[in-house]
Amino acid sequence: MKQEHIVIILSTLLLLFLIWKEIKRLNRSRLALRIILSVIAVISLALLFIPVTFTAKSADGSSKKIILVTAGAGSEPDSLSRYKHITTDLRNSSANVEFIPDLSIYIAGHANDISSIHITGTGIAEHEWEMLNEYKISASYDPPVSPTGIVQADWPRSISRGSQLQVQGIYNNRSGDQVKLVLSGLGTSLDSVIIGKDSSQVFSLSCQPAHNGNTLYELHSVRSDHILSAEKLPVIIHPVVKPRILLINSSPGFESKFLGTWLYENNYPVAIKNTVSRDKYEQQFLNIKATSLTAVNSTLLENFDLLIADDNALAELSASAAAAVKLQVAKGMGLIIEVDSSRSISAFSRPFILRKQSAQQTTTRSLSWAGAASRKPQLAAGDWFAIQPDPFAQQLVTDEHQAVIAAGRLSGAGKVILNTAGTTYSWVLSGAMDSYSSFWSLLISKAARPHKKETGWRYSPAFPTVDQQTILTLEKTSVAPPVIKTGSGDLYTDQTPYLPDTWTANWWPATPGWQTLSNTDTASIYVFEETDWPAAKRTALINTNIMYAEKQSSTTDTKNKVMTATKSVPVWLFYAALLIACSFLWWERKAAE
Amino acid sequence: MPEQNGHHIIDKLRSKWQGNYLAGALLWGLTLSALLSTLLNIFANISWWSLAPIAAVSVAIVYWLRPFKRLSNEHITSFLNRNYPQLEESSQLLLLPADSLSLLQQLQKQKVEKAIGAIPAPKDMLAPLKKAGLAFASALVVCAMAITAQAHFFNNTGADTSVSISTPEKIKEIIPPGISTFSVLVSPPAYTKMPKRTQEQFSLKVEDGSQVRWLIKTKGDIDTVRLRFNNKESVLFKRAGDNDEWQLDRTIKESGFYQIELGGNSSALYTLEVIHDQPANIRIISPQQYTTIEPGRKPVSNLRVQITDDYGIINAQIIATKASGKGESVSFKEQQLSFPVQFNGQKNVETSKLIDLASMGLQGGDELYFYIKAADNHGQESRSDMYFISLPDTAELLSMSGMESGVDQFPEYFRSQRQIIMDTEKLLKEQSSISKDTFNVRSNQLGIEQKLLRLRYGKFLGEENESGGEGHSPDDGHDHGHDAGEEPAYGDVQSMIDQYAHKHDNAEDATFFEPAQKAQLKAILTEMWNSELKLRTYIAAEALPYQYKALRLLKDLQQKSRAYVSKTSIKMPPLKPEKRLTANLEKIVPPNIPAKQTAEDKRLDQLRNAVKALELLKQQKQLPIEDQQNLLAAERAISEKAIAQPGIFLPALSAARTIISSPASATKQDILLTQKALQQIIKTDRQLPQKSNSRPGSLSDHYFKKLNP
Repeated sequence: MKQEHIVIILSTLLLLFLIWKEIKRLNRSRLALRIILSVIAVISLALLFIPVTFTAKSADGSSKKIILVTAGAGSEPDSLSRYKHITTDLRNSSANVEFIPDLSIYIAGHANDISSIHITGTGIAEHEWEMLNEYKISASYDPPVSPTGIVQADWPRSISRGSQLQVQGIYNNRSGDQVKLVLSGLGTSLDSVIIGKDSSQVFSLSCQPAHNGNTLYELHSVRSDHILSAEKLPVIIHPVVKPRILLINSSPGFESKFLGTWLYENNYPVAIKNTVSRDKYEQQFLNIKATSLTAVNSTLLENFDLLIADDNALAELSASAAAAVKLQVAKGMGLIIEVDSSRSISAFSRPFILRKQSAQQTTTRSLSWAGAASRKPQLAAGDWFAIQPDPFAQQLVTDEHQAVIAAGRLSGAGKVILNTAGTTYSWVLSGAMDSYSSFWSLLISKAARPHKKETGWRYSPAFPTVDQQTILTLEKTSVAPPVIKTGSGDLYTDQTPYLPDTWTANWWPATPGWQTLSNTDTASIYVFEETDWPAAKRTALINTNIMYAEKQSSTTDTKNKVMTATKSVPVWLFYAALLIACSFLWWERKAAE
Repeated sequence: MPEQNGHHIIDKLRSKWQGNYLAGALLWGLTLSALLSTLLNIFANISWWSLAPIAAVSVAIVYWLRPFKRLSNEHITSFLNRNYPQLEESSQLLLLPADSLSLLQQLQKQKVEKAIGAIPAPKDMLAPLKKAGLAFASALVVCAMAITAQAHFFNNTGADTSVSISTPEKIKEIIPPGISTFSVLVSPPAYTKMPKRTQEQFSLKVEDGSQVRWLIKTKGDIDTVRLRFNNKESVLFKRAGDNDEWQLDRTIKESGFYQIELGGNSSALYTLEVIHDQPANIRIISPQQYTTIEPGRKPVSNLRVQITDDYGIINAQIIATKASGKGESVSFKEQQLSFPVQFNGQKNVETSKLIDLASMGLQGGDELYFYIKAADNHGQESRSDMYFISLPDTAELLSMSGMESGVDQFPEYFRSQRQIIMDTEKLLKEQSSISKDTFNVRSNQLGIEQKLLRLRYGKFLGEENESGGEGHSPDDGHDHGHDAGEEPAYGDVQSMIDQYAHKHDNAEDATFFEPAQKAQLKAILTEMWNSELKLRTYIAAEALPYQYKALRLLKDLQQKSRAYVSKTSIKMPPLKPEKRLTANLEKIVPPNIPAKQTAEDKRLDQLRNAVKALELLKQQKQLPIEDQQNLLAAERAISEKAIAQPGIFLPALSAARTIISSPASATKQDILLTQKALQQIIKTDRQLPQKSNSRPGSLSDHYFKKLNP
């Protein structure tokens, strides 16, 4: 039984008793008045215990709206000045702005007093938005002008030696002077760009690291010899993992000769088999132990990550050898086929459709591929044919007419690449080694059997920061949950549902700089300091706040319209009524005597 | 003495006035001399003492020119009369002796005398002084400004040049504590013509072959002083005179670095840079590398050359080779030509020479090859590229050889061009014997013939008329093949446009010639245009070169359209297809090429890892042993580089050494210096092929297995 019901029953009984006593009273003058007063007294008494509420449209809510001033707030319009101001930033606190150490605690304590909150400045964290939602406090957000500096930046966190490190981002320059952005590392300035005055500009800087290991590059912004900011770009530079390559040619040729030499000079293990006459082969072993290449079979091919062969050589393979190649490709070995006519002879090149291109007046075609230099490498046209584009083949190299020169297809776990450029050695002869390296790196890296790694590491957020949560994801096939060792103790992992070999752990890095995490292998993660990348962090926070505010306004728009406040009648009213009624009854009795 | 009184006042006025003029003149003189001496000081660097004589002279000139000497009492009285009406135009009476005056004049004089005593001193009296004072003040201001401006602009450059000539820029050096004083005497070799110099700095930048003498005065008890070159060679200092004075002489030929060892203690590393003598640089401004002198032009070529050297040029010559004859009977004759200037050690010579090909015996069909050889005062020789001047053979051009056989594409027109040349030459020969009018008429006729010829060739290019762009009018007398009655289909935009457009084939594409052929035909037409222009303006002589060039191009074109097939006499036996690839190859052993291994460049790898170790050192204080090995390798590599380029790598070498000696206390500055040097040593990598990473058992692997059962 509820408390109210007991009160009601008791007070009804009391009322009945009082009325009966009044009726039985000898002095019957002012009986009606006395009964009325008794009723009032009992009801008042009862209502002292039962809260009386009524709903009313809340007034403009000015007493319940507060303004939260966060860091970076600009001047606010006068219409807001009549509300109460609070801040979590000590620097913003003043006589009018109350400083609160923590928003969550403040809201928890004052939840009833606050109906809406208006946030100015950079904004509040995600978990604080979630908390506002929980307390059903409507919030609005007024974003400040976007910060000056590097507001967005991205770069690969790990690259392999010899590839380009490219840093891209947006610089917001609101000063009246131009700003120079300099990418520097290892005591050297590597690349720079000028940002015009009063502009927001996309920049892209690059360099080509030639060393190994964890490296901290820096991005300086300089205005008339003053360094405005120095941001850190941690990059892990891996040594090159070299594939083992087998070259099979139906006849000795320049292309294979130059390719073999180039690979040999760069320490790649290469075996070359050239047909010199009927059943006579020339075999070369470069950086590799000599074995017989006469018979092409699975055991031989298993030792290689990539087979580069011309179409004729593949067509001349015996049925068993062709089957072995097919099996190995399905298992992951790469295959690059060199063709020099528009006719596909072997079974491997047949999925690609080659077509003869109409004769052109020019004698060279300029090729382009991902990662090629901006100056398009030229190649003598030779026989002019191209690969018909089809949805299952990835176009790798095209010429200026968008004709496909090289394309790759998946075949089982491996990849088959068809290359129609047969005179790339001319780049070596003309000294265009960069083009040659870039071209063959693309084809070989695309095709070669991938390097098996036991573990994979991921982490979020992208900028792990000291004293902030970082979620580590470890991919590893393991029965027992793996334990991650960090510099400041062990981390225990959770298995992710549905993804049995993905394990996550929460990590709170304690020290900035390069941190080594280890399980069966090690990974390096750079932990930033709180003060790193201020403009980018502020921009990210502003964007999060805008998003949350948008989300909230779309859900609370309708709620605001029916929003009424439940108000309770003040208890002192009933107490006064009880007192007056009782006083009158007492006085009337005294007066009657 | 009333008379005396008036006269006296006027006298006093005059002398005052004169005094003012004199003072003004003096100021003017000073003004002029101040300006002059400031100018001289700034531009001619003449000392300020020049002010005194200039001032004296200018004051004298001003004194001589100025009119104040001639200022007389009459001038004063007339001035007073003009300015003071109370004198009633009669102040001159005061100057006259009293007895020469009439009664009326005397009365007036008395009146004026009273008045003149009352007039104030005239203000105009101070005017010359004021003017001169103003001029002097402004001149002083101008001079002051000029001097400060000069100090601002000229001083910098002046200081710079003087520093770079006498002493190398001051580098902060660490001097070992055992040395109390030292000096280095550098005697540059003779060819530089530079004086000896001493410097109190160990870092040296000397000319190749300089003699360097170190003089060191030590303090304390030191028994040996050595000089250690490039970390290898060690040389002992000799005692010179006193017990604590040491001396060493050495001829410096190569760059590097050195240390001074005082009784076993090594100093910091000092750079030793050698400035090598550069060979003379020869630049031929004209003619072009390949020059053809058209027949009809004067066979001369103006050669313009600029030769520069860092210390001095002592000789330069033109080496010319004349090639004459054809086929197997080509003869060469070499001769040396000299320039019309004297070479006596100038640093920069620009000269020209007229090469008269005719006087060198060159005829049509001959060629001249030449280059320029120059020697500097260090005995280094340098030579320019080979240049070619050729004189085409007119006889061959006009010959009919090659016309009789083979494809004769444009025989008629071709002969015409030849004919025009012949006619022009004939006209020129007869010029003296015919009247001017006749000459002009004939020249004009030739021009018309040339035009006709040009129009005929224009047809080959598809030109309709003159190559002008006049369009057709609707009633041009031809239509373009579309039927008037045919209505274009609705929405067919192209055909609607065609209806109103006047379409022709493009003149460029209307013929069957190759683009190269067309280009040459166009060039021929241009030459014909020029020839016609000259003929029609009666300058027949100037038309000849164009005609020859047109003919030469035509002949070229004709030659190009021929194919040459040589005679063959060998008869090949017919192939038997059934016998192909049937030989017995059993005894043929495939070539056995031994396996080759390249050693991975271990040193380069060590350097790469040294960069990594240094990066690690920024965060940590200790290094694993293998990284210390890498650092040692890096130090060795930097020291090798420092021998060749001490200026760049020496700071890095000392930084690397401090890091290796105490890795824990390595400063960021040192680490960065070392890393920078290593970056320069490890040459930028090219992109290399590599394996991508994948993890067996990953999600994609699962998918793959499910999709490929």
